[in-house]
Amino acid sequence: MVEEETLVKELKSKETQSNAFEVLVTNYKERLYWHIRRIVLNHDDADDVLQNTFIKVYRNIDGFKGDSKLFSWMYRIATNEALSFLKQKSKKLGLTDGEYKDHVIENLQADVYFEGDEIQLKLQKAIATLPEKQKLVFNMKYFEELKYEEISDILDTSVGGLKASYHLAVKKIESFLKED
Amino acid sequence: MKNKHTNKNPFKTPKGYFDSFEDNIKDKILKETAAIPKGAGFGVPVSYFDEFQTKLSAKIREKENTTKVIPLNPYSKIMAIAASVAAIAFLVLSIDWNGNETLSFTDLANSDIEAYFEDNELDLSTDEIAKVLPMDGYELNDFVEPQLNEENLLDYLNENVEDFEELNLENNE
Repeated sequence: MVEEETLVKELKSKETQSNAFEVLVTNYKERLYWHIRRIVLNHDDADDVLQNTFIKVYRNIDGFKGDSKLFSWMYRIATNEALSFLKQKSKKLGLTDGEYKDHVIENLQADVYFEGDEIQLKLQKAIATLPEKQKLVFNMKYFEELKYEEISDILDTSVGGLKASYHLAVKKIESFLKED
Repeated sequence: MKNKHTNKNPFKTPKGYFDSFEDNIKDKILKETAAIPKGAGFGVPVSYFDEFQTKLSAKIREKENTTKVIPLNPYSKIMAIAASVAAIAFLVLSIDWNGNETLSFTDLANSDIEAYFEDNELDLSTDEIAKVLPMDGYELNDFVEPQLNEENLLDYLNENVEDFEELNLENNE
């Protein structure tokens, strides 16, 4: 894998930008896709958001100061894009955020790209009941196995706060799954 | 003769490895013992990731082409001037020069104000809100004695308190 610093330099230079961007997409498309997919749940929506994320990265790379890692910066863009996508979509349908979440979960069972069993469907329902931040932390820690320091960099929250969020989320999900 | 071998440890660990070691172990155990499925159950179309790059490049090209500036033609300039004159004339005529009634803040419906805040990201700080918020209609008890549900309270603290552990909740439960 190309060193991050070199990649950023190449992304900022007009001559090398095109090739460097291809490398960037190859390196991060899957990780960012799954991060987005766990927020928006539906494949087509995840595809839209992923494309918009990379377009934003492409257009704003000159503004990337290197204060955080490139990976954290892209994750932050992907998270913001996914959350605003959900907000826009619920507004378009005239639903509240909560009603829209229920609507997406109901449609999940009929989604051809959801291959989960009954318990995995129930898990998604449980995750949907969590407050936004707990949901993000749970997905990033449990499924994406990111370190607290990395999540802290992406969500701009203290490590202590993240640990509390994660443990609370696990407890809530477990008790939801135990319910009949 | 100088000894080439030293006792210096040639091995290194990633930065912060030992600091986060305990947390990593705890979370691994939590994941192993939690009664939560290990997979989320999502799938993707066949060769989606292989074709993604081509699709993305096409979209970037398309966006770049559609955002090119189209030069204004002389007619549209004239039309723009005519529209401006018409708009000014309409504004002048529509003002009720003799009317005594002026609109004030109280004429605004609450729903309009709420819709404005909903549709515009104003990003006001609490200080800025406090400066304009009329306090006459509120009693101190509105804030001091709220009916709080325990779960809502925990969620609020979790969302807003930076160092959750400092609250020392477990000892006071």
